[in-house]
Amino acid sequence: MPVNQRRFVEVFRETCAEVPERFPGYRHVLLEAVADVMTAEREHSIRHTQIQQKVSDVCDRLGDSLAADSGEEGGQRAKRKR
Amino acid sequence: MKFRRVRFKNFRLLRDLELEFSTSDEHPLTVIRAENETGKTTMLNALQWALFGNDGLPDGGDLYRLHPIDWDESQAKTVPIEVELEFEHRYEREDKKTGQWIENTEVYLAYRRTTETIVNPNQWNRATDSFDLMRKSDRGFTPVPGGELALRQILESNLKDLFFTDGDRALSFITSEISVGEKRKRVQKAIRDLLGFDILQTAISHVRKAGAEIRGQVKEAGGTDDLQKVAARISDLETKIADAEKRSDTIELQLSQMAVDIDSVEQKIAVASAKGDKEQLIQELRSKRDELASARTLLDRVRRDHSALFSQEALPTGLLSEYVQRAGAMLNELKAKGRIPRTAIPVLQERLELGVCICGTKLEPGHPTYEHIKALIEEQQQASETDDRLTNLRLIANQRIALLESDDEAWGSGVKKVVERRNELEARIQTLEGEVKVLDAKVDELPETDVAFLRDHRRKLRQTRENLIRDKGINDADLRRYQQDKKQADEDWATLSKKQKLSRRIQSRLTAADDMLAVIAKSYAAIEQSEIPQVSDYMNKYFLEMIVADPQQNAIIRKAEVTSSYDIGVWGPLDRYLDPDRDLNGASRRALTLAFILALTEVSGTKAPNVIDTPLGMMSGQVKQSVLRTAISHSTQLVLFLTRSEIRDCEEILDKEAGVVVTLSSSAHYPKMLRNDPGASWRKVLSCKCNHHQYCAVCERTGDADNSALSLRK
Repeated sequence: MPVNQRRFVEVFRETCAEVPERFPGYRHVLLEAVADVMTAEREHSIRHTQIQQKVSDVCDRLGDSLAADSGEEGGQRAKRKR
Repeated sequence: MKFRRVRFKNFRLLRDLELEFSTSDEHPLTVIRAENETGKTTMLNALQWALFGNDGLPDGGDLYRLHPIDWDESQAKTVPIEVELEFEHRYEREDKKTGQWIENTEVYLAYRRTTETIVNPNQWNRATDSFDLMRKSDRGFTPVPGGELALRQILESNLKDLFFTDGDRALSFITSEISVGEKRKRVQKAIRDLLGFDILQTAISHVRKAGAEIRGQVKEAGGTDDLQKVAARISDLETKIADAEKRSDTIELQLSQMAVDIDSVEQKIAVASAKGDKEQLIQELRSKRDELASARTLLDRVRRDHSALFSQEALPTGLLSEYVQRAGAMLNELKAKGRIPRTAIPVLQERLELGVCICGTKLEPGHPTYEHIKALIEEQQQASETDDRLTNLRLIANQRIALLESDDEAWGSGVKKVVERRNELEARIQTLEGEVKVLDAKVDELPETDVAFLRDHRRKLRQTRENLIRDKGINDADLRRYQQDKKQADEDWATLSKKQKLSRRIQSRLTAADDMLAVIAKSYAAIEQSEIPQVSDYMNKYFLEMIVADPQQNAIIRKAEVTSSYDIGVWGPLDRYLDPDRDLNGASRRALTLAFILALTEVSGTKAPNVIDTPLGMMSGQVKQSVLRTAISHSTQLVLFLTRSEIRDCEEILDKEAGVVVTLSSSAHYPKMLRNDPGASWRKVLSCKCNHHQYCAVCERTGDADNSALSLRK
């Protein structure tokens, strides 16, 4: 792996910490979404893939999870999680 | 990644060869000893082919023959070619439960093969190669699905030039044979590839586009025309911002190139001016020639004057002035004594005519007194012709003397002046002729350096730079305006979307995309800001170590740096810039590029073998040893192809650090260089386990047996 993965993850984690915790655990989900995007980008750098679609899907998934977890329903779900 | 073992079959002269590499962390060095024409570069290419296919061969491999050049066609027209490389891959994985990073090691076998069918001695057809990647497990090696792609996850193809190189090729980062822009691109590419900047940048672009797509769904989400317009505006501004940023980078690069070009032209002008400005020289030559011509005309005139002096009446006086003076003095003395002019003859004749002497004696013919006076007159008449001549001469002499003494324009002074003028002119002409000759030679020496052309070129470059600065100013102003507009559009979007109760789904997706964009963009900025200075610091450290320079002492080289514009530069005392390609010697240049590669490897955390062909060429003594030590201590695995002369003076380091040493010999070197008949029917590379202290029946070269530093290995 040419890229210093550990370093990337550290920096992503630090930067995610600056984003508002839109629902409990949002930063963690955001970090995972960013990691998914980077994995897709890396795969795309090796062989051509539908990268835009993949990245859009990750954004949509994160957004949908935000919609679900920050709304009333989401709030109740978060309570249940707790 | 660490190489464990490699086997070559019919790859050029590597007909059948197997080698093992050192995988020890304590002794990461593998030395492959080989003289020139013994397969070092072939092996480097073969390793690259195994890992990267045709991309790993020179010029894409189309014209690079893989089969042995002396392949026996009677044996088979089609040659099977294989390289099998066993390697281990260590990687870190974060345990999501504990957050700990765990190191794993897996062993793989990369196996690439092809065939070449010989059409004629100069033509062959290569079949498409096939590649398998196999992972070692308890059951042996099992194929990894998507072999080549799986390998790329371990070692990306764009890293091959960094990890597989030779002493000369590595210099491409600093060579002056290519433009500064091209050098920067290479340095930038190496850094971006290894540190993953490109991946971050494309991720930013894709997430940004995803955000734009979400905004594009406003209409379906119940957004009004106003909101749709804002969405379209944001999307448009994002495109404009990206374009303007790109353009700004391009202009920045062009400006840097322009600065270097102008500097280069100025240096040429300075060099040409030091020798002499050709135009100015020609002007000077012309003026000297004019001066010479007028001096020659003057000389002709003076020569004519000089010649005229010889036709003047005053010539004899002038020429005989000394004698005239002496004669005048003598004649005046005669006059003073009364010897000239003589006046007695008329008186005596008068007495004879009167017939009476002044004493009263009658003077008659026959009288003794008469006869005496007559004889006296005759005697005096004879003497008076001389006296007359002397008297005349005295008069003439006095006239000439008067002329000589009184008249400035007299012949003597005239001659003196003319001669002086003539001498002066002749000396001047001689000087001028010399000067013209020198100028002629200088002008001839400068046939190619047209200072006027260079100045014109500089003027044009400066003009282009001015235009670029102006373009950049305009572009940057546009960029700032777009960014402000975008900020405003984002605010408009926030206000309008709140009012319109846009569907929660769209809002959340947009928020998510914005958050992701912020995280990746900020991370990229943070990584870029910290990693490049780190690469620079490591490069500086390794480089100074390698060239044994202590900036605290009196070292000429004080610092090496990768600048933010991706230049590799070196600084001397008083922070004076040294051009790596122009001002460093061959050893330091190689050391600098190796230091750069090692620094990049260090910062990226990449664990891959550094395979370097002839890295110690042009080096000697302490620098060679330091380069070797530094390279060993900062490599995960180091494979060096070294000639005997490169090994010289480094034996102790190799004794201590090398985990594996092998020697390659070429059967083609028998009998001139190899002592023993290898018994090979065809040319091939042979290997043995001899180190730099040994020789054996396979590798013994002429003179080895007499070399007390070598011993026979049986």
